Amino acid sequence: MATWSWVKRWLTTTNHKDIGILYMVTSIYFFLVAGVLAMLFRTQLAFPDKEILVGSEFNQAVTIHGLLMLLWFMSPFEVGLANYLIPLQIGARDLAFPRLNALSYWLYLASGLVLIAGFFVPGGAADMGWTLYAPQNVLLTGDGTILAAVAIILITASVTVGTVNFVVTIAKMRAPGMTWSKIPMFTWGVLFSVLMMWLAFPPLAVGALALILDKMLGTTFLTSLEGGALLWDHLFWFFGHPEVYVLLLPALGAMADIVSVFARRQLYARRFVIIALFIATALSYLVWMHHMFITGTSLTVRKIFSVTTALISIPFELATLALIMTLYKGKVVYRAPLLYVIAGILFFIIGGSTGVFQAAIILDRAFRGTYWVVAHFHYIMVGAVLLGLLGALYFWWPKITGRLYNEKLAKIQLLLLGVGVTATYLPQFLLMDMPRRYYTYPEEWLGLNRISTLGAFILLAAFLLGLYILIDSLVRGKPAPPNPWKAWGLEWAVPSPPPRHNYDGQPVVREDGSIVFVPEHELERIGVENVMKSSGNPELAPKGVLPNGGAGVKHVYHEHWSMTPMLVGLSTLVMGLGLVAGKPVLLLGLAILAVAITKWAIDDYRERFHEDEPRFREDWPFSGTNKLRLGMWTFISSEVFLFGSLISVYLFIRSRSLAWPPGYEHHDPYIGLLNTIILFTGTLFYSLAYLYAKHGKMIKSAALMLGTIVTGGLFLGVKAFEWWELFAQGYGINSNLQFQLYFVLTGIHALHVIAGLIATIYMVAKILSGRRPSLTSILMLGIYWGIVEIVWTFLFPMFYLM
Amino acid sequence: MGERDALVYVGAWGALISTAILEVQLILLDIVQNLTAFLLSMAVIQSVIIAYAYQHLREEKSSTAIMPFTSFIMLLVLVSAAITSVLACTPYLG
Amino acid sequence: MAEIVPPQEYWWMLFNYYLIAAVILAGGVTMLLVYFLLRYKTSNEDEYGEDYPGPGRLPTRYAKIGPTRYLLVVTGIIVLGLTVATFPYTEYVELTPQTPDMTIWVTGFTFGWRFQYPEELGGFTTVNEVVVPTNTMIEFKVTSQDVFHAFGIPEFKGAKVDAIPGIVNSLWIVTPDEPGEYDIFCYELCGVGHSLMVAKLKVVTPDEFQRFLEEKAGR
Ligand code: HEM
Ligand SMILES: [Cu+2]
Ligand SMILES: [Cu+2]
Repeated sequence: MATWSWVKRWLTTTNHKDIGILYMVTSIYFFLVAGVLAMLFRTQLAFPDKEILVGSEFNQAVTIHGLLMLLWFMSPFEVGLANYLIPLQIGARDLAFPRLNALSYWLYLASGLVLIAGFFVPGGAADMGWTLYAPQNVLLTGDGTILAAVAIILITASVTVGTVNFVVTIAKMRAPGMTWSKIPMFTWGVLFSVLMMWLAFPPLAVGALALILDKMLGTTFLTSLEGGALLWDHLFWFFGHPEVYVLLLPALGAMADIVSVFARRQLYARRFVIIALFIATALSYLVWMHHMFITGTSLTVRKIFSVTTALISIPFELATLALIMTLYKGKVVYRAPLLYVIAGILFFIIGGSTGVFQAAIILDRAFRGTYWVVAHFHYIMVGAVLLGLLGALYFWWPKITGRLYNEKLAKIQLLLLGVGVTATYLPQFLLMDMPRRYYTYPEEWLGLNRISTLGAFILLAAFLLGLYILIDSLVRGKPAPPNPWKAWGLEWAVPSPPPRHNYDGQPVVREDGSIVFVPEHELERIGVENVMKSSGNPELAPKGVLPNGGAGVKHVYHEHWSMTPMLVGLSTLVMGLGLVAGKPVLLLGLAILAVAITKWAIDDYRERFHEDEPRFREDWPFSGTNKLRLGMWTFISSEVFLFGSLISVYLFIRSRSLAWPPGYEHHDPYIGLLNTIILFTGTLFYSLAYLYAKHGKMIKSAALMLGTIVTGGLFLGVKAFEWWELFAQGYGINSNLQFQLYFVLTGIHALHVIAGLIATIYMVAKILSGRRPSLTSILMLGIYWGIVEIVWTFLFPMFYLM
Repeated sequence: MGERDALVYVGAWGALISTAILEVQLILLDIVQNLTAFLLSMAVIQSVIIAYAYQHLREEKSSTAIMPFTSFIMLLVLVSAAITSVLACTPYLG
Repeated sequence: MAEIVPPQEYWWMLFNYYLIAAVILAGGVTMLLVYFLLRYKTSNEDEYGEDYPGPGRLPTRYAKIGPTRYLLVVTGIIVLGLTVATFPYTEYVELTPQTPDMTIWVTGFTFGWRFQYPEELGGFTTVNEVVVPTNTMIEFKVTSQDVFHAFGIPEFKGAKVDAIPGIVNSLWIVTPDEPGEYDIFCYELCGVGHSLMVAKLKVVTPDEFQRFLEEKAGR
């Protein structure tokens, strides 16, 4: 029975530390898969005259290797670390939305499995490179590409939910005294990272959707000349560039903290580093066209992007210099995590400098598509990010597992890694003429490729050694003290591993930087302000880094768990596979989804899920805002971006189309106007319902919500009538691009209306059955209806009037 | 105080409906010069009304409101850069 | 024929400048790192630097930025300056500086390259081999008939553009004085035969080129 409860714990957990571990373990699994693929194609590249792995199989290997490493290993590993550490670092008991956190994880797991399932379907996995360029992604691939696109959409959902969670957690869940100036760089890095995922993923998801539609329903977004290659390029790289910094920033943050700890100095120019990383975050959205320097777009535009690309290297220069300057006048102790980070900095310098070469359009003309670029980003991603993350793992491992590990072996591993990275990637700079993703090539490149393959095997050995070190530590490692490194930071003031509730008492960071854990009633009595100012007061002196944080009381922790996130994840897995496996599977997935949503609603109705709300917190400048509302707006903004990307697809295709008869030739503008008015009226009803609810008149509120339901239904009815008319005239989703856009965009909008209706019906049912939904939840649904309406204000003129 | 809110909601509704009708009439009369610019700006105006009145953005603190604003600005960047780059390349359709 | 600087000369010049700048800057920074590491090494775990927050504590003040900011400004100017300084050369390469001696249309297809010679030379096509005379300015107009390819001649640095359906991109080269053979590759993954999309650029003497044309015309 013990095993069952063990399984159940991991399937239903909503505890941030559990989910962090799930994330990390899963990501390491994907790392191993991607690594095996790399060994396979490096072997082929060592023997270009043999046929070990050629043609589509070779292409599948490089494609899935790239996708897995970036989206399913590196980023989720960082998210896992963040999940575990950020609440500990900022003094929260969990993330802001624990259940959504679990949902992020299960969507992530499902998406990765869907991607890998590609190997087992006809035509094999996606095989057009991790960039999935159009139109070959539609024209020349098998079902695996559909699965890859589904996987991308699922992971987009996962990271969007995750972004909302992390933004709100960091903004609103910090312990008193944990001001922005005090939070560790790792937390900062994660914050910037999620802020990039936030707007970068929606365009990618839109691209993936277009890919699925093209492959399954015969649309031509990615195959037509109007959309096609360039449309995909923009959507993909608008995501693709921020994504590389998504990977970098958490690692860089961790590296900064580690250097600071082992140099026994505060991070040099800390404030400037934070500002610089923020600038890099903003700029990261403005450089994507440096991946398109030779597509033949306007030279002026490209010059602007060339300059922004050069500009973005400056914040990273500052960060690198700051890491180095932190050592100045330090008392540097050579512990394993530090050495990993130092190696990471060295590789980062090389990778970053070569990026500057590529920022020059003329130079990039030669580099584009060659092994030089491969070397550039592997120096950063393996040399800097991966080594930095390994340093982070070795740094926080004792905290997470409560065990020490064999540091000597870890140092030997680093030596292997250093040699491996150099042997693998340095020759690739010299292969600056060799095209990427060639499985066979002229004789002259043989030697360098062989060295590179040799290096890859050295890396393999290093990773196996790493696994041994970790397992050895788990089995035989000595128990770790709370703070084995004499490190600063709140997480080191609690036991290793931390208890389920993280700490007893409420942590308060005092003005002198010391941390005290005060029972909540005491805190109330003394006052938070007084505790923060109490540095000299012996009664409140920190009682040392002890188990229980010295608070002297035991915190009563309310375990929370839920099975619904896992069910939702499972349903998406089944539905995703169903797209390829056929209708029965798809329907099964839908059924599971329905069960999951019902269960979620029932849980909510019975108010079964409780999370501890912190009574004391530091949340400037977000004080006075509700965490749900901040979360909702963060989510809505990514929805804005999702629809915005769809609208930009429309504008893009339209501006490249030679003929585009005005919309009113096919769609009656008066019917459209009628529907517009219906939708506006529904939202008016809903707002009035909110007003009544605000004044406690719940029945009237429910009545007005019924009005919204009726108008929403009417809207859908009119829409259905219009669609039916068009079908009768012989138009369909695979008619010309104008109709494709019409059906897809209004279809997605209609789906949003349906989702809104379901939520509103639930809300009415809840009121009528005598429960009172919180005012915030009513408002949040109103915000959702607002976005549905805003989207329509764009769709209506786009399709009916122009 | 409830009345004031109600007034805002109904007023916004009136504004939305009238802009929508105006928009359709102007287009069908064919007196608008720059179609795309006109329609997009009408849509932006309507969106702002909806955001402020129905989504209660007006009640939000600026630290929250910055989220949708950022997203909107970034969207403009994506759209304008993609469109300019496309209009300026050398198409050879067909 | 044309007295015009071949693009790859500028490419190599700029590449070398970049390399020198990178080696000096990256090398300098690396040396600083190594020096600090050696200079401030200690084995005493309990010694703390002056502004170290201390175990289990948090930083209270932001550390200052020192003279490093000057270093930052200098490197920033170098990086930006280098980038902007390449622009005239970019224009030189991209905006064909004078009328080319010969324009050849290139169409990528799965999996190969088709070359179409100008009308006045016969307007014939060849596949996976393009023969051109020495010391000539040649323009390639590149497109694709199916999927996304990229046309590149690595020996002529910077001679690379994407081959995209519906779009024509151009690049130009100046052939050397000596005859020779150069590889042409595809630089964008385009399917199972991507690795086999190799063509040859054959530079021959004007006489030989004449013979080549006649042979083609005779067919
Ligand atoms: C100093 C800052 C950097 C600059 C100036 C820079 C510049 C560039 C440029 C211009 C390219 C396009 C090259 C081409 O395809 O022809 C590129 C490619 C790439 N860079 Fe960077 N980069 C920098 C940092 C990074 C970082 C930090 C990462 C990853 C964490 C990264 C990952 C990549 C990747 C993955 C690609 C290639 C994508 C592909 O084509 O598959 N870069 N970089
Ligand atoms: Cu980039
Ligand atoms: Cu190719």
